[in-house]
Amino acid sequence: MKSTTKREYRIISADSHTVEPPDLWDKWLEKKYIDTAPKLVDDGEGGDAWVYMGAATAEPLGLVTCVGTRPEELKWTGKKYGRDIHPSCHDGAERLKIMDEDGVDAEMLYPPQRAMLTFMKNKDTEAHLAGIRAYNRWLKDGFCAPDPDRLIGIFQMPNVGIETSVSELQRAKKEGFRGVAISAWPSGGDNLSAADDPFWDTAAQLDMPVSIHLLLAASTTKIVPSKSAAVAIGATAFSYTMPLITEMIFQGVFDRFPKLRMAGVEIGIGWIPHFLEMTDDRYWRNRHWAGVKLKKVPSDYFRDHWLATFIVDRSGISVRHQIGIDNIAWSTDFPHHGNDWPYSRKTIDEMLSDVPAEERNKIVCTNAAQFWGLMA
Amino acid sequence: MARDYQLVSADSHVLEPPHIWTTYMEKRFHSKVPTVVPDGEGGEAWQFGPGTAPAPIGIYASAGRAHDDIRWTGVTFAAANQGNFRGEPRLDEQDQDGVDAEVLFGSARMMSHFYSDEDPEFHLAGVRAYNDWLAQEIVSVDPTRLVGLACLPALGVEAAIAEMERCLKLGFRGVWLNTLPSVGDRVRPEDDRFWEAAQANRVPVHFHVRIMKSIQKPKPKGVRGGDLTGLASVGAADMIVQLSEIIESGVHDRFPDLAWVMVEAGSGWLPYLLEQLDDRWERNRSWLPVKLRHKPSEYYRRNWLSTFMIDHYAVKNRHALGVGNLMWSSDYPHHGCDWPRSRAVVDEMFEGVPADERRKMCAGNAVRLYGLA
Repeated sequence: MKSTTKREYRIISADSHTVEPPDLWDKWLEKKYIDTAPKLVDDGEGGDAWVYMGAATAEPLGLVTCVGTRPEELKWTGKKYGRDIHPSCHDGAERLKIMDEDGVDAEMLYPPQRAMLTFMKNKDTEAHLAGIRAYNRWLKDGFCAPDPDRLIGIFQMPNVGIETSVSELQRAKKEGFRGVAISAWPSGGDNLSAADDPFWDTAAQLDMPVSIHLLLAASTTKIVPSKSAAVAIGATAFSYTMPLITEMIFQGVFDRFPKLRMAGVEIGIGWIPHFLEMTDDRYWRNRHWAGVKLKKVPSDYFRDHWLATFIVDRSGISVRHQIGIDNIAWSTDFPHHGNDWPYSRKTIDEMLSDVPAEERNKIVCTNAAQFWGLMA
Repeated sequence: MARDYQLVSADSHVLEPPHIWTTYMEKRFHSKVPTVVPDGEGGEAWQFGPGTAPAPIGIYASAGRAHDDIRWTGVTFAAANQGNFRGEPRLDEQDQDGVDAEVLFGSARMMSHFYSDEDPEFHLAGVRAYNDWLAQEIVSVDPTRLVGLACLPALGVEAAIAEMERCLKLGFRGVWLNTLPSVGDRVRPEDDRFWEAAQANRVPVHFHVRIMKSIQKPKPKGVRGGDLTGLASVGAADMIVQLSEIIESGVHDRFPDLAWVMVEAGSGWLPYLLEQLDDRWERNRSWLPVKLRHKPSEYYRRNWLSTFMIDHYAVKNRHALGVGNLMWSSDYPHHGCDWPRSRAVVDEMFEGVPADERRKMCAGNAVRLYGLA
């Protein structure tokens, strides 16, 4: 296949993560806000843990720093920066080496959510903004600087009101970011409303894709618990995602902003055909009394506006045509504990063994490359 | 001769009639029971307490109406299909739709009125009144076609067991739980005595749309938000997490013979969830306190059934889930039903499906579960 790209991409992870380096806040946060920053402490078992603002307990790092960790070795505590936390978690040059070993050409990089929520929970909006801006500066000028064609930082949006959401979005575009992630509805409301429109409008005009990673974490009152006894980590996240997608569709956001593009990140894909069928069926039956008027059928909006990322999802692959072959993108979730480094190629081969080469190329590479503008 | 079941709806509804509470509850409770009032737009509504907004019966009694004629208001008991709340006409309505039998649920909105009352005697009396009415005026008309499930109180494990055992003598074939037996926000060891009793009595347990984590007063309208979002996620939104929590709790290792039914939460999303649960279990079982003997998906296939209405996707992917784990339903007479066109809808949805598989999903699995034949 002849490629027209500057760089030839073969495998792209549409959802990977940064981990904050131990000196992130000391180096990148304005000094006057340093008291609001997360603090590094001993986790009680010889490892490092962050104390996020106002938290009674420290958050250890074991499950978000898994580089070749076997399932039997997984645990939250006992991992320390500079000792057994692999530098690729927080250093871009090191990340590139490890990507080479895994055959991954580029990664979309999402932030450490617990750290972001630290600032977002701060009622002092100046401190809130300073923290998010410090992260975004480090992301661009620190982590991604060694190779911005392979390390694609996703700009974290703050949550201090619609005007700032719009201006930060414009700033992200100006600084060369290829995508932004929201952790709350752009106007900060509990529910989607017309107050969010200026943000969607700007995103559509700037052609800046907007990601929702699993859920709108800053809209809920709780931080997702790290020591939950639930085996279902992430597996049930689509229960939160479904209502977000349907709200945007049924409130007519995509009729008003037909160029808006959204990514549902780490939401999985196997559930989507069922969801689309239900959404259409309920629309046909209930649109009269519910007073919902759309230009298209609900499932059309999904296919025209959304990209969904997944990690391991054989059921989704088997029904990919019912989702939309252009609407799905593979990811590693590296260095979180769902990743299969350095066997991503093996995982892909097994999962996509029955998939024609052209479709496979879309799923593991070009859908993400086009969505985030890597092929220009 | 035993009936030859072709089409069994594993999820249908009754509409509680105006006389139910005063007929089946003692006089001392009558001042607090729901009453039927005008809905202000020519229809009728339930009023749950003085000063509360009337809750119209509209979309719960909309069978046979065109989509653009379905409304919350303007529907009366007299104008609704009489089988919504009477046994004999219900059989006629089943015949018109080609349905041999239905598994009957009430309204969680209505039961919330009793659950949310601070007087446990009133609470229990309301639950028992519903069950007594259902047994006497509906199920007894033809227990082979009108399959009764006992509504259980939210008063703790002992009260749940007592009402279950009382109702089994009235001809019920399963129980409908709106909360977990011990009324916790997730499945707990204290629920075990209930599962044990249900297993010993061979009673399937049912959750309809969701498991209430806390008891709330009934809402004037039944659908969250009054918009389509709640309808489109069809209860799946709640059951995705609750089903996962139940499987992870290890309850299926302790009670391997108990049958669980997830009702009106859809089915097409299950193959995806089961794959993800297995993957997370494989990766994380060393560090998590979750201890299971088998993969999560194996428990689902052994212990659970789910219902579906329109779900081409579930039918198409039936082997990924298990043909024996799926039961068709009409949701009659709620706004999701296609009465009296269920046969046409089923024909269209099952096109290309082998007859024996279709038979199981549309009737056989329910016939076996409820011991109808």
